[in-house]
Amino acid sequence: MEYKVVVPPLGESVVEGTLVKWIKNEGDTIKVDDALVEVMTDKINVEIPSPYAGVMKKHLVKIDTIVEIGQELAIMEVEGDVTASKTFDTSSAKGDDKIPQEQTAPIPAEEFTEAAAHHREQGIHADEKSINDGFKAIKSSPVVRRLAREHFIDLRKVPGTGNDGRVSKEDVIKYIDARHTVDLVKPDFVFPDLELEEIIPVTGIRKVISEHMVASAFTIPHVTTFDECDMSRIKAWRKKYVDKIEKEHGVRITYMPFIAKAIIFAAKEFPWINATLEDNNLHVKKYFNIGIAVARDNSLIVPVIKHCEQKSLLQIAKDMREMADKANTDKLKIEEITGGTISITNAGGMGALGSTPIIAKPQVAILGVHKIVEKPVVRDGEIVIRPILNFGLSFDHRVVDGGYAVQFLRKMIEFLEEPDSWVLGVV
Amino acid sequence: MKKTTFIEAITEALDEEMARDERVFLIGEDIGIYGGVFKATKGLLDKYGAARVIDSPISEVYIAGGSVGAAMVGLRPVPEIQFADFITPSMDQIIQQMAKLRYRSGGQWTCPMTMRVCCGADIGGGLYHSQTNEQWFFSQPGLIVVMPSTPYDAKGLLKSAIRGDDPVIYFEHKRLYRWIKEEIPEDDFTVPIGKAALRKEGSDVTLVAYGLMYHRSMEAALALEKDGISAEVIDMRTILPWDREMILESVKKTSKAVLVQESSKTGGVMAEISATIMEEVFDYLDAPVTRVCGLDVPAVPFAPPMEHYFLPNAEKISKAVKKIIEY
Amino acid sequence: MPASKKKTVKSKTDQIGLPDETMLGLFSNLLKTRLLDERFRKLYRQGRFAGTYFSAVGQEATTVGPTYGLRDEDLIAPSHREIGASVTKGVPLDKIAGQIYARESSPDKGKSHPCHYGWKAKGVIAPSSTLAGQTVIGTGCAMGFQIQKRDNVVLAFFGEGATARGGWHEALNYAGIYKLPIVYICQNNLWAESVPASLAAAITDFSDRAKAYGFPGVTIDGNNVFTTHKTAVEAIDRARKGDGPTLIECKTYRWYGHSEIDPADYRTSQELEEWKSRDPIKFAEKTLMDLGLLTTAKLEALVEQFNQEIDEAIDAVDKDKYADPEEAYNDVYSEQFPVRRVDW
Repeated sequence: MEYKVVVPPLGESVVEGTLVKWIKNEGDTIKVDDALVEVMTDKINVEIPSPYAGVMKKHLVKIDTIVEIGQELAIMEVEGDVTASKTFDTSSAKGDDKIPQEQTAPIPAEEFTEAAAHHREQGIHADEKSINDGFKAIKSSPVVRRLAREHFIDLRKVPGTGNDGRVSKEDVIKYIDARHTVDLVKPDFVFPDLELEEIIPVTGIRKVISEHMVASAFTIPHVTTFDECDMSRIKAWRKKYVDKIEKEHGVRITYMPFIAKAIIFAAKEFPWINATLEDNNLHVKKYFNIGIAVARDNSLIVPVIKHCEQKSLLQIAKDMREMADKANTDKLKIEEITGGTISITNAGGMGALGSTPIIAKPQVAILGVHKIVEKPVVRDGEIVIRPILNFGLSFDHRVVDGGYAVQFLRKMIEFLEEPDSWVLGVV
Repeated sequence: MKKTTFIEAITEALDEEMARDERVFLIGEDIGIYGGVFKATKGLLDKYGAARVIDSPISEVYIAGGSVGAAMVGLRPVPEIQFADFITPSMDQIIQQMAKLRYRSGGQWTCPMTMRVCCGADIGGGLYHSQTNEQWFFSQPGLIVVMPSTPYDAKGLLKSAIRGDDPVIYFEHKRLYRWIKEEIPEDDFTVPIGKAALRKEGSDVTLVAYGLMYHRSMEAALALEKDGISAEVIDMRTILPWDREMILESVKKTSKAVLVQESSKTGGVMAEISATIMEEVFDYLDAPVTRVCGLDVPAVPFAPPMEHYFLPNAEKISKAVKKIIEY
Repeated sequence: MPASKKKTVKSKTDQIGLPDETMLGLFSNLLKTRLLDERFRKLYRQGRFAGTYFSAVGQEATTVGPTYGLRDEDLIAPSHREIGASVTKGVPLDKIAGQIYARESSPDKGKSHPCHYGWKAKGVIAPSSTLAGQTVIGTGCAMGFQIQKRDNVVLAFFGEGATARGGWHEALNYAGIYKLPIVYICQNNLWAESVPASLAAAITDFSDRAKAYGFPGVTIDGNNVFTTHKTAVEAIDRARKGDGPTLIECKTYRWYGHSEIDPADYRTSQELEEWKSRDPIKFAEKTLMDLGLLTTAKLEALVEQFNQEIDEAIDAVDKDKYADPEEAYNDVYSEQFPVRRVDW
């Protein structure tokens, strides 16, 4: 086996030496501990002994050459195994993977959501260039820059109250707060899909179920599921903003636009709820034309708010107001009461705590909204009073299974119970 | 409950730990017959005998190194360094033995000992009886460094130090000995090492200090309150390892920090705290991190006006706070 | 302890007065120490371990003699040239070799230094490089034994150069006041790295320093293992009985440089050759042969046996890896205070 003769460590500060003498020439026979070569440093001359018996095969370095610690000087042919010197092998029990890794950017920018994209289109959110230009123009601290990045703010738009007009953290927070109300007039949610509907043939098991259901009921086999929603947060939000918005935009936002939005969000995960059943085909809609049942003197009419998915809360509220007015004055046009993809009926206004609404054919579902009542509920083991809304969702059991509808309703309620992420937009 | 002074709390802790654990013994200059120059060990010689309350010769090297040895064979030494100013001869033993013994022996040998060091100015002590030099030990991993500011913490931290398995430098500020009194529980209690205390909540600025400077910072915070500035006050209590979480979380909340330290500014504890704030929570800062420290001169000068000029006080701290609030 | 504190530098076999078994035991440990030491020197030259190496060849009798016969609980407070104390105290050879190689199996897991042998199970304190450092903490250990009323003793080793340090004096002063159970062993090898003993103190016999601290000091032939053993045993008995410390100065000589990178050209070759002629191993070997306790065949058998033990120990550590670099974070504090890790 080959053994490689290396320059041993020659002292704490020494990194190199000079090979001054070959004691064993090529071809020489070597016994254990025979001196092989002499290396000189400014501290000491060292004779390097051989750990093995064998033959000097080849010198790798000439006399008077400067050699580094750990450098190979010669190759010896030795008998048997060689325990390679590990002094210069810094590999350890766990390995050599201790290489410095570049750290990731410390600032977690807000996720670039669809809502954010839209805000940018509308000029509420600044683009990358404006944000950076703002940094250059305005004296700002690290926290201000972080907030500006996370909330897409051009600091030139923020009034600064610090020394020399510096924008402070407080200034930015005030600016973001003020912007929340501005956000409300803009649509905040758009489906990216271009096609407007998807046609799924009702075949196989679904067809069997359909025929079975038709046979067992008159036309639509209705099933209604109930679930309760804690409206505390929406209520708090309304309390805080409703007057301000009414003053600024002339419309009083009721709970209905929130419910409409929650349907849209929940239907993203449960799309069959927002659909029509026509000639054994289920038309799953990628847009939301929401029918709002309006009670008139002796009858009921369901005007449709078109493309709610493209509208802001404020716009939906405005449209609802307008449709109700039109309904009450008989001014609704035919296209304003057709083309619905899902409906909402509010029996709460008259005090109902529960109802099983009838589906507007060929739609698949209708949501019954009822009176919000203060109820004792258990939170974290404590009995507390919360405003509770009892929803009733009727669905067409031919195409929608119970579990699907129950999950949809729960999802919708979750959005209403945790509205911060979507109602308040960016915060 | 009766009110206990800072120094009584220390005596009580020593007494109770010596009664609880016969491995605990004391060694130091003038601690036996005389009861200590500040009377921290008063009465203990009579109670526990000369084998456990040892009057040492003037040998700070040995007081430190001898304690390391006694700790190695299973005792719990509590040596006293009469004045922090005189700790310098012990440095070799503290740095090379006390701090490194566990490390250099791969954990075979340990050094559970608590070195009490009487420190601090504002007592008219002059150059050689006023120093606080915690920063020398703060930069030596392997040591625990604590500096309590209240009788409760003085007692609880001393007990934790004596009971723990690590070498502790326990700084006790002389100015606090008989000035600060409070009611403390009679039952056995400890204060955890490594945890700071949030003494006052606030939203506008974070004040960080320890020892006497905690009290000065609190005075400033209460004065600032009247000006409508809400200061959060953190008493570090343990200097090494310091409570990163509490300080960094507070600065994240307030976005501003004023760090107060009695010893000289350059290379002090607060330089490290400041650098860490910069490294870890830079994106939360709304003003430069500011330090209020002792002067960069060799030690605390003697003449009273000069001593007061050297030391941070509530007024100097308030001024620094206002400057960054207005920033 | 004789009334006249100084013995002359001489030994005669008829004056030995030690059991055969003890004499053989002393010789075996001397021989094993020498073989191991010379092996480490070669391994260093071959680049088999990093750092440097402090050979104790020439002064083995100063460590082997006093250490022989100690109990496991008695402590050795070493410096950096006490390989003989570790061998004699019974530290496993693979632990000594592990320390040299700084591998994962080393007692310190590779943290300290090749010659900082420490092994608690056999009462060898892991040393620091600050000279006389272990004299101070070793004295503290003796103070601990006294407080605990244990009849254990401490042997503190240091060179003559270290006796110039302040801490050394504080420790001996304290040990004198409290009559601590400790024996101080000064290995006067005439050179503190490159500085001659004459520049370390204005006295010739370093045992004179004991006078100032109120306990006996003796100067003996450090190359006669029987003398070093007998003198130490007497001092150890005194210490155990509570009669206080003793300072034993062993006149000796190191054959090689301070470390393997020190050519030791500050000394004359005449001085070196003179001391080499008083080789402590050859002296003990001749004494035993003269007394008929050792034969050439027995000696060869011992050499073979020890070399085999050494081969096995070296082989074991040669095959061992360095510890995971993150081992650097361990043993800073107790488990209560884990060290904050750096995200490299």
